[in-house]
Amino acid sequence: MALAGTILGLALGLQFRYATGVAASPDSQAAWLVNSVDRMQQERDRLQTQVNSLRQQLDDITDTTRIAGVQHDLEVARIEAGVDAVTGPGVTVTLNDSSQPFAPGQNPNLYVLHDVDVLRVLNEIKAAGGEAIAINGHRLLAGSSVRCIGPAILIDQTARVTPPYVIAAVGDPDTLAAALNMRGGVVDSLTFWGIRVTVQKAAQLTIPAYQGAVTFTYAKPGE
Amino acid sequence: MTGNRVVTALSLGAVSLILGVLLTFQLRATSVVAGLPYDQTEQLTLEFNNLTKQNAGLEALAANLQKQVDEAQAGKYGALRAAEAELKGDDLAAGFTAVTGPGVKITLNNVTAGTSADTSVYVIRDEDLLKLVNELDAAGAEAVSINGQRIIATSEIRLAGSNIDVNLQPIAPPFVVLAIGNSDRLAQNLAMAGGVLSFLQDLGISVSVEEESRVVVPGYQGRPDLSHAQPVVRPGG
Repeated sequence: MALAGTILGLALGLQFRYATGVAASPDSQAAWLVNSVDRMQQERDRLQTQVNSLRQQLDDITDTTRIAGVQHDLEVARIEAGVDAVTGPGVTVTLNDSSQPFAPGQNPNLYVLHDVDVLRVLNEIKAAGGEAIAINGHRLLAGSSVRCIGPAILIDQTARVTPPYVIAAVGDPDTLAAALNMRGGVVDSLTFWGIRVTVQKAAQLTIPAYQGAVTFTYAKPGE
Repeated sequence: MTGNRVVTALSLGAVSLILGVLLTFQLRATSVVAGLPYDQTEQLTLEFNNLTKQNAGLEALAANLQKQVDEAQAGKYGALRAAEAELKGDDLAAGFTAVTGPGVKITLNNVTAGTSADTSVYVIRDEDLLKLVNELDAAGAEAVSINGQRIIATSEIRLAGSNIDVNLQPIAPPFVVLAIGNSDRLAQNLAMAGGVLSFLQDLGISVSVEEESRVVVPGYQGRPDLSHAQPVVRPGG
């Protein structure tokens, strides 16, 4: 027992040493990461502006002779690819964790928003004809993912957003609102757990363009 | 004597357990990079990697657009051909074009043989497929299809009547999901504990994941009918 006690004491001591050691260590690596991310975000914004300007130049060149059919096809492709910001009627869905105090012994997990809840709302919007969607200002595309990381969600593995989650979608406001608010639908089931959900119709809202470019490293055109 | 030995064994066991717990904490503590909590470091690293990829993508896109602008201005090809080249690029990004590359093929099927009397047998739901596509996307999938339906930005995966609809087309089991991307990374992410595939397997659903050197993911059939969204004039344009 004495030996065991010694080991335990040793372990505790070590633990304490390490814990304080870590807190006091220089944060050069963290600072480097923060700076790099910051710099690269600026670089991304600069490149994005450059891409936008080039697209506009190209549009100006091609505009005069553009056949109506090609123009419409291009517009649809650009909306799906998130190239342009879009505007139109739609809905805004706001999701927030439960404000209900839960009784001891209850699973608090049931009262916080999960990625699957957000996925279900997004899916319902798409099923009801949603044409362009953003969460907290981040445009969602075909390959967008929504993952829980702690109390936040990670959009597309890049953007960390925290509640309230504001989902903006362009589409027919009545159809979208009716689908979301359907009896036994996604809003009903979230409200059951005390999740705060509001669905607001809008005569006009704007969805930002996708930040960055859709690039394929593995997928090549062709069958 | 035997009693003493039991006590010793028990206390040693308890101490080992505590030691183990402490070691775990210790490992966690040392993995904290310089004052930042672990999650935040992980988050920053993720952002760093993704910005690297994003910026490379934007640079390539800018170069490509510059080439198109130059060629169109030099009269090398007509304005219409410039528009067509542009359309081709946007179609690819939108998911309107078939693509090929390495990836994974996932086959899911409900349990059928000899269980007809059991009505409690689990049936694959729309939500399972939704989670699966989300996991693939999070693992960097570049193109995904379910039973021949390409998943684009507006694709729903939703129970409609007794079928699951994707792109308003009913699909039925077995569900064959194709994804293009880094096949190892895709397969490893899918195999993670707590993932939707392990959940389905536990419920007796037949699950197979095959890494493929080449899969063909079809393009979206036709064009989605978008009548509400209007493009906004872009900033910097």
